[in-house]
Amino acid sequence: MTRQLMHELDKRYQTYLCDESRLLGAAESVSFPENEDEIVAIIAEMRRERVSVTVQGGRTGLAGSAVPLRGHVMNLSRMNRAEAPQRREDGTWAMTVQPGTTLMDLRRAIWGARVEAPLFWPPDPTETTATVGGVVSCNARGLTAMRYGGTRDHVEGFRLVSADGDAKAVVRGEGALHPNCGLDALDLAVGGEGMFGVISELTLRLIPKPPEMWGICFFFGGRQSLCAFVDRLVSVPPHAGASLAAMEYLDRRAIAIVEERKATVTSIQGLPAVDPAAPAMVYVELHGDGEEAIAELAESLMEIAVGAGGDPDRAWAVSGEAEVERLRAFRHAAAESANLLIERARRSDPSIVKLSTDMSLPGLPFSAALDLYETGLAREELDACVFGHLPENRLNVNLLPRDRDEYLRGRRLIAEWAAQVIALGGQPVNEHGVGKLKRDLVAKCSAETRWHALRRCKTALDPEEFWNPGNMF
Amino acid sequence: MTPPQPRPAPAALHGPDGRDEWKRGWKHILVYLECRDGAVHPASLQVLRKARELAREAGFAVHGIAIGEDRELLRALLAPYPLERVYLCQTKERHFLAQAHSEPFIRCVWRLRPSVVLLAATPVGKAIAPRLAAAFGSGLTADCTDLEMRDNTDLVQVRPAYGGDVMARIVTTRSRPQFATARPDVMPSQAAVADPGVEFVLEESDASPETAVTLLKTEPRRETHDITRSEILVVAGKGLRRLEDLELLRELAELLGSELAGTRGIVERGWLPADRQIGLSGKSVTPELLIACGVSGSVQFLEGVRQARIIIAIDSDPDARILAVAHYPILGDLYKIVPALIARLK
Amino acid sequence: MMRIAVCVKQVPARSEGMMDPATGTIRREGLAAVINSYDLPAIETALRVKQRVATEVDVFTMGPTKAVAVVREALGMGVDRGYLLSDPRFSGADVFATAYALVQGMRTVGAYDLLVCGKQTTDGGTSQVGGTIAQMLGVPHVGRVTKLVDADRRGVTIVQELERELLTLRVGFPCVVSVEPGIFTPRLPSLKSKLAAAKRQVTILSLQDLGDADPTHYGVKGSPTRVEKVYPAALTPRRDLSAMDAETAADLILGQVRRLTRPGGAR
Repeated sequence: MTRQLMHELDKRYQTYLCDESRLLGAAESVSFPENEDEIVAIIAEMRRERVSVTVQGGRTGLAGSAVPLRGHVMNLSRMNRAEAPQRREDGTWAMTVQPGTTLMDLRRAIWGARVEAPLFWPPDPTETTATVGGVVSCNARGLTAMRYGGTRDHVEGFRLVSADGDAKAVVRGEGALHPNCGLDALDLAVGGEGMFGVISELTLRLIPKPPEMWGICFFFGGRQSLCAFVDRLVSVPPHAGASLAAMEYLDRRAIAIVEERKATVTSIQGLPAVDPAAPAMVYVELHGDGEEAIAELAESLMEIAVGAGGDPDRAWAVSGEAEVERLRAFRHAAAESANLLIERARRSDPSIVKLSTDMSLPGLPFSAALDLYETGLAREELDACVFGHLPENRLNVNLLPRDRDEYLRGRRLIAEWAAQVIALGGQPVNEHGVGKLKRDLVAKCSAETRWHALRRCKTALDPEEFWNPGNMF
Repeated sequence: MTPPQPRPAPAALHGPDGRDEWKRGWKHILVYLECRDGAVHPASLQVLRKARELAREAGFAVHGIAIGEDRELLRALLAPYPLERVYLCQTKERHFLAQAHSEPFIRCVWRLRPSVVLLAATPVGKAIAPRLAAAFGSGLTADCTDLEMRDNTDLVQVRPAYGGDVMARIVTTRSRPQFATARPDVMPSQAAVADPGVEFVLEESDASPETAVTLLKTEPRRETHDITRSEILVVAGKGLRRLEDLELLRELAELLGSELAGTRGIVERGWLPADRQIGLSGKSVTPELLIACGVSGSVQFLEGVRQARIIIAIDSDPDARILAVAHYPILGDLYKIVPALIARLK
Repeated sequence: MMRIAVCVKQVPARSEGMMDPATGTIRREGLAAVINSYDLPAIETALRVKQRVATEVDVFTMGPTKAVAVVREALGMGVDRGYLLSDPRFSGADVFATAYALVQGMRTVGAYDLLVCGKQTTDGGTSQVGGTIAQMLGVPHVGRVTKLVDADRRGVTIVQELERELLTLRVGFPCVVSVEPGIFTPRLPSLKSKLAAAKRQVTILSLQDLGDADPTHYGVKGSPTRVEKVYPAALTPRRDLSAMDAETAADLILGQVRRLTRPGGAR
């Protein structure tokens, strides 16, 4: 080895002990491998020394998955090379990238490859500095999963370095990693939070960009009309040539924390002020083959909005990717602003970390989901902002505790919600990962879930907790 | 509005493309010398020097034109510069009004028939230039960063486009005069010389043209402290140990006449206000020079400085990402380098 | 009724940059086309004047057929009528030929009291079309407008930002103003008006619709300037990492600072 791979985790590397969850961990050493051989060499050494390994990408996770508790941190941000997209015989497109490629770099690489049709990789958790490896490991679906499907639909295969220092290719449908697992190896690792090895390369499925897209922000005068609108919205059937690609919600508090930062953030600076009287915003994206088809769909949404008591003169509507990106930036700023407020709280009490949810409540009216959260918040008198995906009521409740007491009450409240959500047939954890902050929430599920299957695999494949100790189980 | 009376290019100014004899009828270079607050605008002196270079190649003279309310003052300001002749035009208004300044300028150009008319691309220059070019129906190239003269007196004008990603080389081959504005602070400046013997010509000052523009009020422009508008930026990163140490960088920023900005980490620590944060969750900046002090170079940060022209980074960690990206990566101790720099600047 | 015209342009979206990262050449194809972002505050300014005075606001652009999209965008924001100057013989126009065509186009519709332009475009970025139009019309032009103080049927009161001072000016109609991007935050189209805009008619003006139909006055032929060559801007070269003592480093930094502050070395 010519390059020094391992560094003692001294003051210079403090950054690598935390992620967006703001959880602060501990580790003895850190490495920044640049290729698979280096990963293999590091893993071999760690294995010999019996030092556990925590794997990181962009450190944008919200559940602390990338935060080490001990041992070694392997940061993959320097494995960020992307090959040009390849057209395969069946006309579909694939692209091979290293796991540390950020979503932003991925987009640039696709653009730079000058393929005939504009292509994209659909998973978009709005945080563009997230890495492909992280998105896949968390199974983060992002905004447009309702049109394009989940992350696992867009991963063709990958290379996995396992604890025995072996690097092998994992391809869809090739069977289980271990006879005890039951799950397909690829499905195991997508959303597997790095529990079975480190991904050293991924082959992604790219699809053509929709020729046309619109973004619309609806505002409603009151809660009743808002809820009526959302309940009708989630059951809008796709129109010929166009469909809803995203449906997002931002409550008043979420809007307010974004508005506060507008003057200081370039990406949202040019947007007009949201009417301070609007109790919430519903953001939808329509993707389709042409302007006409989308306009037709938009027309039907307008009718629904009017029927629910909304005012279409107050709804914002933009078209084209560049303009749609501006509205997405507003939505993304909600998450970012909530993280910022947590950091502010940490200055008074460093034990405070991210307190947010990504539970789903399929089949329930939107008002029931809102009620669930708002009742708890009111009872506990806690500050929070609520935003997130509307399909299956996948709302992110971000608690904004000001001190330790509020933080602890918030934690209890989230645990309470998890129990209620499970009872109502929902999932307590979805796309932010279980990580270190949400283990007790998933453990509440008594029925068999994917998590239980994963746990069996983990026991079979990695009984000594070599990989990512403290995550998930 | 009265129906517009556009003036298409007067045919007399044009010659057949590809033949150059007619161009000989257009000689010399006329430079607009912007004077304000008792001084010649530095950008005008930069244009003057470039004009002299071009004139030397073509065997032209360099003439100047100055417009203001006090012609004696203009004469005193311009006397030390190497100009063949300077046309002094008087205006009634103390303040700049594009139309009032353009009219005498246009008359002067008509009489002189110069090959090239150069202005600095200041707010004033960029207000006058399109009026001149339109009056003659001739070519105007704005914000040139370089100029060259061909043997046939065609002026090669180089200017950035697409926000500076792209350069374009532009020529005006079929008409004269060739109008161009030059971006300030790109070209070297003309120094005063001893006894240049400038000939001053007082221009007929007929009544200023009727104008529908009335000045109601003037006030000094307040200095903005906007990191997106600063030419130079000093940026603090987490390599800074204590809040007090920020004063060191603040002092450096002040001595450089620049703004102090910070990374997300610094702003999250509460050391700098959010409007000074560079990066994806803050501002995208476009300085000519960015001095990064103790900045590790996260993806988030680097995204905000993609348009910075020159990045100098000081960091003590050889593995810091910023050192792999900066144009001038300095492996060193900012606590030693910054004080040394401050000492020099003082 | 008072009338305002706003001039807008369709430009390549350049969020990803114009340069091909692989070859270092300029990339034109495959770029989405958007409305020049500096034009949105110009449209907003016209609409704000409309809030104070009864007026009609029309928007003009010149470009290929697909540029109708930017006209629709303006219609969605609340502009009354849209005009697209489109003719193969208009293409390749420089500042002068662009301004001339726009003036001719506006003439076909009528006389305007106020013409509003954006500060510049994001592609050519000369910021000279407004002044050129004003000279062609023989009317005043005020650039770098940062504030609309007042507007009535006879004129506007505006603030112009020069290098060291702010001038508050009363400008009588007819006139041309070019507004800075910070003058107003442009509104977003409402859903209702965007849907209505999709169905609205946009008047296409071709060469034969113009008062001066001489093709040599337009496009490449009518342009006094010619772009000989377009090439990528030189990137600042990167130096290798070097360990430095304080004095050497201070010298290096100071050298760069001086290149900037003492003209002649920069860029």
